[in-house]
Amino acid sequence: MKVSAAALLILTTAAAASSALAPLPPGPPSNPTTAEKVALGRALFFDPILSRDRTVSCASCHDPARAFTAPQAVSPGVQGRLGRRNAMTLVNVGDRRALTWAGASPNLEVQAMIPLQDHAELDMTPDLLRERLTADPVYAAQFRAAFGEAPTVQRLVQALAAFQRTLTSRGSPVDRYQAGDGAALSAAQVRGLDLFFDKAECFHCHTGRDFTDGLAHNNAMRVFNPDLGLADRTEQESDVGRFVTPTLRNVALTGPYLHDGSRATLRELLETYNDGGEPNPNADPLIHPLGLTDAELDDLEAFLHALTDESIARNPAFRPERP
Amino acid sequence: MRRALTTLLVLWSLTGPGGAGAHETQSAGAVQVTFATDAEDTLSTQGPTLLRFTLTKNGAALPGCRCRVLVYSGVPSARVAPLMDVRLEALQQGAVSVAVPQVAAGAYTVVLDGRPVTFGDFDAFRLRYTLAAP
Repeated sequence: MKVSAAALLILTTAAAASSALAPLPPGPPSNPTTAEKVALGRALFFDPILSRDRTVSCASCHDPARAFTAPQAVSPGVQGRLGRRNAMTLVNVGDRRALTWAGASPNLEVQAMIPLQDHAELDMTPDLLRERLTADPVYAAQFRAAFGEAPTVQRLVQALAAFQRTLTSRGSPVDRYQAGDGAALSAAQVRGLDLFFDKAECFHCHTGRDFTDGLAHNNAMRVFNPDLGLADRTEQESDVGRFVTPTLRNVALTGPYLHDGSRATLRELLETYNDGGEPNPNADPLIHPLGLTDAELDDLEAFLHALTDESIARNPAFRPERP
Repeated sequence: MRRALTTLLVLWSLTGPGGAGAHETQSAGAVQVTFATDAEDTLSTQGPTLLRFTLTKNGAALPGCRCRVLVYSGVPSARVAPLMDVRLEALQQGAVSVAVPQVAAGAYTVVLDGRPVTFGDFDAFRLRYTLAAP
């Protein structure tokens, strides 16, 4: 009980600090959020018009029912081509400072250009995007309403970013517990909360109100990393296999797990951490055997389920306007 | 196929001739590990080399250890797979022997990764040894 009080204090302090430093963004000065941009971005997000063969949309890999992730380890793009990495959740993505698994994009506007043009994802070109959207009278009108001008790729990514900034979730049982509802968590989940901030040491990386430090780590889930991760950009040997810590919000809905989707279930993931990971030369020193019992793993898993905000899947604003 | 080969080599190494060369002892917390090869602290370019690790804690044979031996060409890198990766979980500890297949001339690194079967018996450790294959 003493530990759970301390854990609650950490949760509350982290939330307060996080709130003070990073309030829910209304959008950057270069792209302030407006209702018109959000409506346009929402329509585009669910529309396969953004893929070369008109078969895949953003939502194909970022399904609201799964907290904006996909059930596959890596998602198929146009013509079934497989991407490189697991689709990350978009929940609270407006608060992220490091986007994508390798932190490759400084903001959502830049990030959107990656899947739009990736050969294995939407496989579009700027010219083709502009042509298609200009030829669609509904979209042409929506772009004029949102931006006062005809469709361009720059405006397209701004609209997608504006919509994504609205994908917020703060309604999990853990949020209610943190707000003072002691009945929001079961006894097992409270024990799991204690483990999270103590013996299991999850809090080192999964910290703050979204349970991520926003930094890249090599979490020793593989003996070696054919996907270089952060080193793709930095070309530093020490960055090989380092990937940005994902948020744990709604984590029970976002499997399979890790950058490569190589862990099918939360339990499998927890057991790998409990075992101390793999002997990767770049393994983060925080990874070591934890000595969690099966009962403790049960409790930790129960706590992670308490990070699920059930309202996401039901929120009509997170679904296409016209199904 | 690769795993089968390494398993075979491990089994061979446990029953085959020993004959360690020079020794090197390292400590990892309360664990002491003495490492030797049967090729004068090198890896052989003429045939398999036997690596032998003797593990003790406070002078006695180390209790159950899930040991793993990895051999890298050159310096270990997270970019590339080790040449050999053998898990020795099922074997009794105190002494661990692994045979490395014949290698090309060059520099190699052997990594011994050890974790307790019973949590708390000792701290997990990872030791590195640099070897030449002249």
